[in-house]
Amino acid sequence: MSFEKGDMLMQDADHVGTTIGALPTAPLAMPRQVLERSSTLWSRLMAVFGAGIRTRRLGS
Amino acid sequence: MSPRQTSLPRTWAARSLALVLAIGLGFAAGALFLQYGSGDGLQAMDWLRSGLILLSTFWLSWGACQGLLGLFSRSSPTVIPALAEDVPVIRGRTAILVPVYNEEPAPVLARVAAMDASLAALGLTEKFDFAILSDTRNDEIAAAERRWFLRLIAERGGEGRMFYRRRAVNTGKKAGNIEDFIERSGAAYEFALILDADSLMEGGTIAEMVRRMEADPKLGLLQSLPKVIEANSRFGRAMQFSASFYSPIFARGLATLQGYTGPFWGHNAMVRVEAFAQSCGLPVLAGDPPFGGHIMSHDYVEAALLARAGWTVRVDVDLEGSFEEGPENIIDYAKRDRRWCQGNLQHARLLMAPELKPWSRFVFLQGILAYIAPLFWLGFITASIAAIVLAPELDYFPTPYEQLFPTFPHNDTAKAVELAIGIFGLLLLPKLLIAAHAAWTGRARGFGGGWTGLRSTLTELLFSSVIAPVMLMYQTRSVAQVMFGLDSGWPTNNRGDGTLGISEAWANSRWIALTGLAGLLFVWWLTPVLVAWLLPVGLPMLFAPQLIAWSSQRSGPARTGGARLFTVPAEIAPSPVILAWKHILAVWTGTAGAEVPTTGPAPEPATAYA
Repeated sequence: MSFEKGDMLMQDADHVGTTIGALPTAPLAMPRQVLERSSTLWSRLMAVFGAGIRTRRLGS
Repeated sequence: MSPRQTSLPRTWAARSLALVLAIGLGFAAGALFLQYGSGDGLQAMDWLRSGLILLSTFWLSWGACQGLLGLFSRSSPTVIPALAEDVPVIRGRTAILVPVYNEEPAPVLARVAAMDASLAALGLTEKFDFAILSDTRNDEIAAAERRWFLRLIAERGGEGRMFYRRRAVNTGKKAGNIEDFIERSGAAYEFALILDADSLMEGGTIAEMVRRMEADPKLGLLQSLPKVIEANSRFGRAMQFSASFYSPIFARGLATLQGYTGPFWGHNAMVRVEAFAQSCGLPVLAGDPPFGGHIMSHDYVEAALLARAGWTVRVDVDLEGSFEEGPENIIDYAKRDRRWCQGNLQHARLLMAPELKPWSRFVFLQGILAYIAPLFWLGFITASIAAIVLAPELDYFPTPYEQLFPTFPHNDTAKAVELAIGIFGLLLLPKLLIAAHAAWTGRARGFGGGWTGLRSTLTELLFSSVIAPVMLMYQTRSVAQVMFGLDSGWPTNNRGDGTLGISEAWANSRWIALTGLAGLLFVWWLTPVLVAWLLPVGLPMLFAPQLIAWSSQRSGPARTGGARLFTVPAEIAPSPVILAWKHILAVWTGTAGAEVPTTGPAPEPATAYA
């Protein structure tokens, strides 16, 4: 479903959803930042801790 | 050139002083309790309680230090280097981002209209675009958003500088919403002002933030201190007073401690788009929520990532004209707190993230402690009850063949009293000093005068003390839920009238009332003399439904003709943007329907994101 009022356009786009008005097309990359290193002792501890939590949630 | 020349040694001196003081007071409290507990010999429970007192006192002292630093640090406004005469005040383009999620559209878009009018009064509209970034999942609300948006652009002439887009999938929630905008349109803007749906800012404040960003090329994020407005309930107005009266002082203390590694509270803040894009692409953490998945409290992490990349992150507490709304009742507050709790505890995963600034790690730790620390008090109360059960029989003749007279246990009650006075002092002193400071400097005039300011302070202290056990129970439940792997999801914030009836309050807090009742009965059965000591905690729990319902009611006018309790400056002299917003909303909601478009002819393809 779409509608128009004056020059303002609206459409349903698969990848975005709905837009009204033409936002500038000016892409800017946002590279994923590294926040965890899988090999550290801390991340292993947290993984064990998280696994424990999930196990308890499942009631096993 | 940096606008605020906060020297690094000064920052480290403030941090060291606050930390040493807080740790010192924590150990002093722990030692005092050990002396008190050693009267009948030291048991394991005494050590445990001493440890819990140590941790709790440390946490209280740390908070008090921020307040005291805020009071005694320099209060002069930020000095902004003057720009050259021939340079326009604002050069860069700014996108004002308004993320919405199942919000009532009219008030949100009326705020946009008010901010736009405020910018227009300064002749600055051509430098600012508004983008309404909808993640609304409810189709009816989304349809209303579109209708009200068309009205907004029609009335404000916003074509070409006001945009609306609704994501098909709300990946990454609010952080993902912002990220989506930057990845598609970020390069068109130098700065982005990130707002919440309930944010409202003066055009002058927005322009000043841009000016400060332009004056300091290393400034990656500038956070303003939003004041809570439009509270109507007893609870809401107490929070509103607290946010207006104490928060600027505590925030100034925080600013002294943080140096260039400042906070991001997720809204009412301006980012340098390029810096944000380079530094703040958030990964999805391995595993399921609550500890894995998308990062919930993304703002703290984004601040840490900007600082890691060498950008300055700063809160300027002297920036006025920045507003938000707050929860109107304890239930809504607890719901929001539940989400924040999960987000903060998730940061445990990031404590050891590579190359973060030490202060950023400490901020994560603080955020975790904010939810864990109240549990220390609960643990202390529980351990104190257990200590009675586990206490050994008194032995007046420990060496019966060598003593003629009985040996009585030491009476160290005085030490317990000293400890209690110290802890209450830490709780009360910063707020009372802030009230005295406000009366002395004339700041209290904005709060109805010195007497009303003091009355409001004392009432707020009493009110926050009474509801503290209820809050403690909600926090305990939140932490327990997170630890047992329950995800809070992303509930919509309730805004507007939050009045609760007793049945609704009962439905949301009966477990607290029943826990309080069971606790008091158990202690009465165990040792009746202890019941009196537990009443300050047990009674608010027992009457939690009544407290919640009562505090959600609309606050009445002043009874004696004087200033109203919990008066704040935004009520005495409302900012023009607040008045404009109310006016626009009244006009809109009064005429809603007649001119709001519903459907129209088939569209041309939109060029957005083409």
